[in-house]
Amino acid sequence: MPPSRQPLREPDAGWSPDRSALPPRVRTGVDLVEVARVEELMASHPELRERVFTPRELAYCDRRGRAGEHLAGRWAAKESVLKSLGTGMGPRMEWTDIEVVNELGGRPRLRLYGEVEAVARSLGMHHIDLSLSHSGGLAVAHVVMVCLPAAPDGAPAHTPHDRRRSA
Amino acid sequence: MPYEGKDFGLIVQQAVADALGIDLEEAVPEATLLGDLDAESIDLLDILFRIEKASEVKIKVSDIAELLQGGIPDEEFADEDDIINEVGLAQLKKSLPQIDVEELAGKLTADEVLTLFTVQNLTDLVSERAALTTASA
Repeated sequence: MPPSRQPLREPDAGWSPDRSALPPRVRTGVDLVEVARVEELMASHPELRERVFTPRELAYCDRRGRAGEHLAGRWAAKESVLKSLGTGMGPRMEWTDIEVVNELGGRPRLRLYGEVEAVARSLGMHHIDLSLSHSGGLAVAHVVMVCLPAAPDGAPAHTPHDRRRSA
Repeated sequence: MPYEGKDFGLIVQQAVADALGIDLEEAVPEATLLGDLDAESIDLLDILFRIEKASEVKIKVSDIAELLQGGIPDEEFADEDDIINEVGLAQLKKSLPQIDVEELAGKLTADEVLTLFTVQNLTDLVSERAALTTASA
């Protein structure tokens, strides 16, 4: 590992000079939903399943004994991501722009696509993490997004307002 | 004419009542969806899909904010503190004619706009969308 350009005791150590005054920002979103409400909605309008969930999400949930709990968790995850972005369901966004996938050990991860991914990147998203739980007929999702002052690809990060002004 | 003879007011009221599990009489035109009727986003998805099935007019949740803004860019719609400005309020008045622009001037924030959205506003939106589709057919 190359030596740090600045002594570690310096508060700016590890940061490039141009962003030393801007620490990473954390954005968070949480959502709680009744499992029965999601089950009822998907049962009464089966066509909505493909509009809201990706084929991979549906395949995962349908393999489970209690598919409704897993679908509800994924619904809550999508809502949590939208809350973390601060936009709600903004223009051109699709529910399937947000996908929950599971690692081999079962840990859920998020994948973002389309307009949702574009907005997240404009906010400087560096990492996004998700936790899901369900009990007592409720499913909860919690999303934490770490945003850097400059986006990983070098593009400037914006606040939602900055982004709007530059649109 | 796929929409001929359709009572969009009744279709919307019925969709709201069925999705929220309330009586038709409670889904009055002046009731705000997110405020008075306590609808959540999953309910909005349900309502819009019921409307689509009953009327063939497709409106997505993500369309609503866009339609309310009428194509005006964000920076011309609100000020730096996300307070809706004069131009934004004038645009909102077109979709939400019940609002008191003078009363809301300098106070209404972007995230509050949807809480003003009523059953009647949704009916108007569906009617407009149907008219546009018919005109372009």
